[in-house]
Amino acid sequence: MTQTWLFGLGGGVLIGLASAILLLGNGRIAGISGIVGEILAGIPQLRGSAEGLAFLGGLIGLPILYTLIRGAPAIGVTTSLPLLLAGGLLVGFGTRLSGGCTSGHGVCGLSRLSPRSLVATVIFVGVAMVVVAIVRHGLGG
Amino acid sequence: MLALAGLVCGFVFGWGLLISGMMQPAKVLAFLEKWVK
Repeated sequence: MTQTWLFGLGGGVLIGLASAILLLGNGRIAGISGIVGEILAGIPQLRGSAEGLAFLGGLIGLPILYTLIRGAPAIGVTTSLPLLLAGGLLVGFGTRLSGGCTSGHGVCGLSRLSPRSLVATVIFVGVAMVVVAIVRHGLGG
Repeated sequence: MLALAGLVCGFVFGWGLLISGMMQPAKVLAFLEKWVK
């Protein structure tokens, strides 16, 4: 029997470990939207954070490495491209507005007992639940 | 050195996402759906 909760627990430990190392070792919050934003903001001046780029490289490189070794995992994206683009834009707008995303607020902020991150996380998870309910059940999805 | 630490952290973070299934849209949607059914 596959103990799926063990994979969830193990994944959570690894995510927490990576965030803790980045915070304690480099003094940085492992907020992916913030790191991406910082890199994009630095492009016009041709300056960027080497550690931020390296973090993203590791984050993107690991799934690529996994796919090369074990083959692509079965991941199904059923949404249309326009909806994906619209969703991505809304997520980007929301993360800039709230000053963080699931990793910055949900992982790092909550573990630092930040009230702002608690409010942000409750709101974005709650809204996501309502949107999923409406799209999948309320609109005949 | 900081870049190397960033790379390792990115790898570990990505590994965590991978084994917890958080790269699978269906799993994330199932979690969000679970509480409002």
